[in-house]
Amino acid sequence: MEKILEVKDLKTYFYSSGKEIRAVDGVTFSLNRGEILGIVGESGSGKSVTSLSIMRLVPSPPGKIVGGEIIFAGEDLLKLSEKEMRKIRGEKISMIFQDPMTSLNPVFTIEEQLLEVFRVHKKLSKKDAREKAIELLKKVGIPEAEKRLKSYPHQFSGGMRQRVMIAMALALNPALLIADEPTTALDVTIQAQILALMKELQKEYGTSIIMITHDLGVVAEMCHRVLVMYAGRPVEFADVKTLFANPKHPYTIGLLNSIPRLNEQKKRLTPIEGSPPDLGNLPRGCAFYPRCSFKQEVCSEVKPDFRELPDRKIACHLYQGVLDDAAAS
Amino acid sequence: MMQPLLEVRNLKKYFPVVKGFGPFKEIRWLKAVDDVSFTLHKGETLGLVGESGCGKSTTGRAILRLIEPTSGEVIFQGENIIALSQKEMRKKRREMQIIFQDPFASLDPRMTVKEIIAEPLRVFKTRENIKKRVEELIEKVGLSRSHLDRYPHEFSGGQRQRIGIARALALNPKLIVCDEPVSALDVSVQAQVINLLEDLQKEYGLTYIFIAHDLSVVKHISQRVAVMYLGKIVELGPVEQIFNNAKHPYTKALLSAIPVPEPGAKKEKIILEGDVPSPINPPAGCSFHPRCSGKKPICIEVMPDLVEVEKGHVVRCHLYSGEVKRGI
Ligand SMILES: Nc1ncnc2c1ncn2[C@@H]1O[C@H](COP(=O)(O)OP(=O)(O)OP(=O)(O)O)[C@@H](O)[C@H]1O
Ligand SMILES: Nc1ncnc2c1ncn2[C@@H]1O[C@H](COP(=O)(O)OP(=O)(O)O)[C@@H](O)[C@H]1O
Ligand code: SF4
Ligand SMILES: [Mg+2]
Ligand SMILES: [Mg+2]
Repeated sequence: MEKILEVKDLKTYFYSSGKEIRAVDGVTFSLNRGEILGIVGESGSGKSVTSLSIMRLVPSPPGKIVGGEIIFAGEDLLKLSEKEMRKIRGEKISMIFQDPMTSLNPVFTIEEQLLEVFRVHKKLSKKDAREKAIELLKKVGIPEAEKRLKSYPHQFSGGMRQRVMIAMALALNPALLIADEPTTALDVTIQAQILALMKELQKEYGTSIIMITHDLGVVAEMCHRVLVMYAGRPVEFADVKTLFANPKHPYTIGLLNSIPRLNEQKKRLTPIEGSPPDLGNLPRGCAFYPRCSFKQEVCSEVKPDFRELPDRKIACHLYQGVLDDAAAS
Repeated sequence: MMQPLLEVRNLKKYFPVVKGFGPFKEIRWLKAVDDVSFTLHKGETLGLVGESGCGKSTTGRAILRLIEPTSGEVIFQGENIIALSQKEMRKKRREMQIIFQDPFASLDPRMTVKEIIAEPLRVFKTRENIKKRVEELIEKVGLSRSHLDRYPHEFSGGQRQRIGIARALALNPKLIVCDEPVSALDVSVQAQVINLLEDLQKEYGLTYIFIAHDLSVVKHISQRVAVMYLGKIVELGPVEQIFNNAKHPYTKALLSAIPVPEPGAKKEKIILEGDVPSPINPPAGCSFHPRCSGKKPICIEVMPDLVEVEKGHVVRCHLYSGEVKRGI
């Protein structure tokens, strides 16, 4: 399968009040053309910083991409000039955020914002741009699109704003769409509408999607493969069926065990004990060590590598061979 | 039958919305809670679900009179608390507490954990007793005494929610309104807080009104569930009946929309058209009719009443009321 995106050992750090925060610390994954990849993890685990890094939109200062490669369609995005990058953003890669108000401009009408996209990138005449805009709004299910063009973002509901965002993100038919918690702020019935819309558009245009979410249900329904992150690092990367049926990393196992299921008899929940990690104060070894119920001595000292197994990649000493070697010697 | 702990009768909360100004000024009413009734027995958990803005929080707050209801009765342990004076109500509130969604906003950042938990106790207890009670409470919610001198910002979301729970428990309440207590927490921590709430309920015989938008959580924790739509209860019943035998078209759509964490699971989704209508100017007839695929002519004109379809299971939908069944 053709890879559209390869992120290799990405490191993005923040520097504030003399401290170094390793928000993303060695993230590696790849995305095939036409694939939907899920990224899951606790809040603060580096999901958004990963996507901002791909877009080269990390606020700097305080942030800085300090290492790694982001190969998109054969080209390392980290080597491009800001001008080249501007062309990639929007035309080749676009992004939707959890809160559409952060990316829609409140002082311009939807029409002005959509036309701008077409006029700048596609050099369309005003009339053609307008037709395109209406077509797009219809496509994402905005009723009475012609009339709605004149509205301001605040006149739309949350669900409609997210549709407009999707319309804008897809306006130039990008090869890659990064959706950062696109439905987290929405009600389930509206979430169902938006997810159905994204799936439909993905099929129609063959767009590759990175879908960031903390909802394991959304992952199961939408994604082909999943990257699980913990404290800025990738911990498990596998095909969605493999991951849900046979999770191997203790964090993934804990996560899947902790959610109540609709189709189960009531029983006591099994949480992951302890608190999410504090990036400013991580343990020396595996970041999951304090909460892990499978931990070994080596885990407190050495960070596990992100290693390739036949059916997945995983960062855990239980699968590093270290323990086997120790047992053998 | 035992007297219920709480009986809510025809509770309404209307907010005035002013449009225009001067001679064009027009006051309209936003019917956030519109004729809500239910009963709750001791030790029970009632789940309250529905779309954002449908009136769940307002219902919870009006029951505690944190906002004054427009009309209706709230009978708590046999007494209509709506009739109480503010002063009497403050006393009554010892027995009726609330836990909020946002453990970050609901704790005063300048107070230590000890002060936060002790605050509601001050009026009722001596210093020595307060100290003992605070230590007991902090351990009850799974934290330790060493946490007492720290400030809220030094804690994670889950820990802050535990502090909020300790504070709510301080005066031995009988009823706790839990308004999205786990929504802001990481998935891995939600289960900890849910288990804690369940343990405390067992130990103290607490009664919960549990508001949440995660329906799997509501199914897990509730014995009965009420579904709200635009200020009204549209379906209420025992948890198994709501989840396995939902009647209202809105409840059905809501349940079908839940994403299931099983890749490849085949699930028929009912995708609702359109958005939630505004509660300022709700549609005539059944307020769900613009989004309902099964609507009949009568639905556009007449608001249906709640009818009992099974024991303890009520539905507000013409498909289950006499007229449509009789073919009118
Ligand atoms: N103080 C107020 N003044 C005016 N309108 C209000 C006030 N409080 C709530 N409302 C309105 O009442 C309706 C119900 O609000 P409420 O907060 O009860 O909803 P909810 O069901 O808890 O929603 P969510 O799931 O978003 O928390 C909404 O339309 C809201 O905008
Ligand atoms: N602009 C910023 N300045 C300082 N730290 C930041 C900034 N943005 C993100 N971080 C830190 O980076 C870490 C990862 O954040 P993020 O990627 O947003 O997490 P999430 O997985 O919830 O999307 C967090 O510890 C966060 O506090
Ligand atoms: S490396 Fe050790 S501590 Fe980390 S997840 Fe694996 S077993 Fe647990
Ligand atoms: Mg994020
Ligand atoms: Mg609310």
